[in-house]
Amino acid sequence: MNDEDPLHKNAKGYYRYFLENDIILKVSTITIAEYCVLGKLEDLPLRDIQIIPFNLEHAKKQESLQKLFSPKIRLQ
Amino acid sequence: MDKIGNIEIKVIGKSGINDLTPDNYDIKHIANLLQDVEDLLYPNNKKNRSLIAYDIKEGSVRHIFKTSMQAIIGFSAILGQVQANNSIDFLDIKTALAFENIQTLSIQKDYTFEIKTSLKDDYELSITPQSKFYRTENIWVDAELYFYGVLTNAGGKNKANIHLDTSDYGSIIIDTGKDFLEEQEQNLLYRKYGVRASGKQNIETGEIDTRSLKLIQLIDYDPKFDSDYLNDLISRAKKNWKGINPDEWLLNLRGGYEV
Repeated sequence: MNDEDPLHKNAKGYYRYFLENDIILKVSTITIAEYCVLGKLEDLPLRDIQIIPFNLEHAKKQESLQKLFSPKIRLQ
Repeated sequence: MDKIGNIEIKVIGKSGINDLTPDNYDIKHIANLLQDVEDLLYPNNKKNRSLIAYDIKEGSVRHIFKTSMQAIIGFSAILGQVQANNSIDFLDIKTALAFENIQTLSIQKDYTFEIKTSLKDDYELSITPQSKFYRTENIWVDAELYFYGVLTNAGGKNKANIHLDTSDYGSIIIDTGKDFLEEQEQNLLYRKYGVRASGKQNIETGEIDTRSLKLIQLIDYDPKFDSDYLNDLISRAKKNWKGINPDEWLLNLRGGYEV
């Protein structure tokens, strides 16, 4: 969402390709939370993107995902 | 083996001072039980289910249902598991609800329900005023949910709701309250929307109780590449990201651990 970013053109190209080929775009509420530290929710193109909430159902899967993506972190 | 089997649900109890018989058994209880049995036998895909035939006989009141042997075998297995576990928590929601309805009637009217299939001679499950065939409530938790689809219906005389046709969940009904629908100035029908809703979700299976959905927010959702829409948002959003290296910023935000 910043056209001065060096990768903006690539990102926009992918974005356009996905929408023009009926590929569903999704964003998690966690990513939105990170974005909203500096940005604003109303600046996101939510007319084009489906939202994935974070509920207890997702929370309980955290351990297996953590092991998969970040094996260096020691889990209690 | 026959292709058709049957289920017998025997109801024992009193109507006033008299023992229960088909002559003093209210049709309201029959109607409810017919619905419950359909949910027990065919919780999903009712459109393509096999025929279920019905008969009522004396002694006290015996409901006899005939349907395909395949469904009877499945139902007998469910009865066995419910009896063995003394629990209905493992069942799909519609099947569990049907057991709960029978349990509630048992308590309200002091009836005993004895259930058997044609596969066995003995009764396979008894539901009595003392049994507790209810789901454990705490395994259903509140969740915030998002659904995307086409809005196909809005209104309702007593319960105001919208119907959303989704690819993931089929057609779902979401309570909206009358005020929400009254305030809508534009036609909602046959347009794509996202629905942010509250509802109950099973913590073990992830199943969503689609009867529990309540609208929080209706979201415009009509995905198509629209340069004007996107550029307008980018021109507003970029001001907040001036001079920021997103990779460094994100790493710092997440605590800097290696991924």
